Amino acid sequence: MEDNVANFTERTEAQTERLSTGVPGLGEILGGGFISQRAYLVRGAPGTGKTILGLHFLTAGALQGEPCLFVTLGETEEQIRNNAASLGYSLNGISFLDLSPAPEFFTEDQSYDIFHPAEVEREPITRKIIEKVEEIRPTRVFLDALTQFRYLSTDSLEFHKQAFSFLRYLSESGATVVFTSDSSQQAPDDDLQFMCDGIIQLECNDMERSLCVTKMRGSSFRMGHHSFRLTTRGMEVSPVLVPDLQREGLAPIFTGELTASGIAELDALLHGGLDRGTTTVLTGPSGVGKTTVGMQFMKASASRQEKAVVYIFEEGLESLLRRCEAINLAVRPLIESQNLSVVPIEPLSFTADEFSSLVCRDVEQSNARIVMIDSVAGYRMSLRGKDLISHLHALTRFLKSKGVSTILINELKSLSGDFHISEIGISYLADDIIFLRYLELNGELRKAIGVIKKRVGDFEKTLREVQITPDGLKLSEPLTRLRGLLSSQIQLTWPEGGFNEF
Amino acid sequence: MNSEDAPLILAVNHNRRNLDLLVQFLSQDGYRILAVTSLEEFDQALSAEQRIEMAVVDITGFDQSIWRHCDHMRRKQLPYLVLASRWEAAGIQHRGYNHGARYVLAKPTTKKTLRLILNGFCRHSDEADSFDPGP
Repeated sequence: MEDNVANFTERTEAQTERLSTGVPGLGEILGGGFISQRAYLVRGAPGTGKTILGLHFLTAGALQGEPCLFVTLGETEEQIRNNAASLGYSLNGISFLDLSPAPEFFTEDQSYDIFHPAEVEREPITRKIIEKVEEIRPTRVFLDALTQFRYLSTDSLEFHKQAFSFLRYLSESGATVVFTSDSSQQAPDDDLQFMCDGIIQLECNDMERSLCVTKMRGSSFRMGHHSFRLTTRGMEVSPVLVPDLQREGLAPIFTGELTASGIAELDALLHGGLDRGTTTVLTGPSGVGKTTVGMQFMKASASRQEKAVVYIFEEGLESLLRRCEAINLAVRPLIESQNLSVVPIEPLSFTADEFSSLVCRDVEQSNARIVMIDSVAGYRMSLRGKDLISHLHALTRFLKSKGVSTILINELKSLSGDFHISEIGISYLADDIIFLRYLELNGELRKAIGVIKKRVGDFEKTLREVQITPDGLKLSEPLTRLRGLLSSQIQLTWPEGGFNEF
Repeated sequence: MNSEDAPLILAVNHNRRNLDLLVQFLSQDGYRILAVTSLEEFDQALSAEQRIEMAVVDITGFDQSIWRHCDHMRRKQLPYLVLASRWEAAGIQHRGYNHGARYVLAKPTTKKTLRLILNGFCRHSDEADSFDPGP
């Protein structure tokens, strides 16, 4: 029964004619775009990008040869054209109806108070709109801002009737309407929210710009706050990544294919390597060699012509490349051959949604087979207080659905002490967990690597010592004589000398 | 009612746009209008011999001498209504009635209200003209 309902909804939505919003990423949130001949409200404080969204909507139509109309009751046509030109928009093919007050209005000769504006101006404004609509028969209308009509009504009931009948007139004339509102505590726009078919709320704080859809009649839409950017190219939205297994057929599939590191001992530890399409958490304290081990897998994959992408949050590209070269991990040629991409990310410049969109785009465009995020702490910074687990869950789920192996580098704060996989609760995301830790043996600080979880297949239950040398990563034979591995007191049993030998 | 027979309304307004809107409205309702924007023109209108049915005086923008003109209209038994801005209307009301105004309305007013008042005056005026006291 539920399947039938779902199928019916999908069928009806698929049959509905959608109009491109013109804003990259927004259509994905709206289930494909605006539904034809409906009216959509764009809300937001001044400066949040309402007019820019409208310009995108109209230019997308104009590019397809559709008649488009911009009705302005605030900014003048000249101001809008100048602002659009400075953003690089071409407004060719867009007709304007400028209903903004002329400067003369403020001189004594034009200002008046004998009758209410509703009795003086509504009729000529209505006439101008009707004439324009009859003249160009627009399929897209952007109205900025409908709330200005409130001042042409004597009371809220009259405004409601006027606005409703106006939107209906445009819709029946064949237009899809996007309109804005200037709402405030003194003049809320609740009435417009009720009468429209969809609502896009734009928000801006000192950390990021975001939008959310709160209403979309006759269509599903993606919930949540989606971050967006206003750039020289206009508005770009990064939809929140939400796994949709039913719709996209994203059920995780383990193929049994292994991703080897190219180091026999490390692969032996993993009984052949990481499973394709799994998420691996590589965890350990600072400086223990997590990035190096991760880069070993990336280099090996890239060397096999499997596209590999590394996102680095905490160091620059050159710094990472030099560190790799210092231990004979030759990744530069792989970057040059485009089998390996290393993408530096400044977490304070990227929101989590933008980062997710970037990863999705990179993976889909380059057909990447393995992705490494270094580190979870850096990624967490881009979340700016949002829930790490749900965002990371969605991202790793997406990557898994594409058959991409993912390595998450996770740093532990404590250098020693009782064993922890993670201090931020990400272990549940992991199919595989590889840990590195320091050991103090015979008065020396040593490093060891082990596997604590591998969802698909078996793995070695013992640790191996790991050394990062100028010749590369070296792993010892399994350390079978260590005791107390999960405590702060690791002890070496007899004989001592064997431990030093590779 | 042909235009020559239409009642003549004296419209006094310092604001040109207000006066235009008032003239436009009164014309559409079939009145003839004598429009003035200054006290000098107001004087000339009151001194003329033409019969004025009623005056609509917007006091905004005029100085205190506007009330002398209002007294003049009272002496001539010319009915008039006063328009005043919303924030001055309450204070003006008492003064307006003392100077003989039949109505004091706050702006903005509605065309419906103004229409009802003017129709009432002019009907009353027609009835008074045609009143036959009988033998």
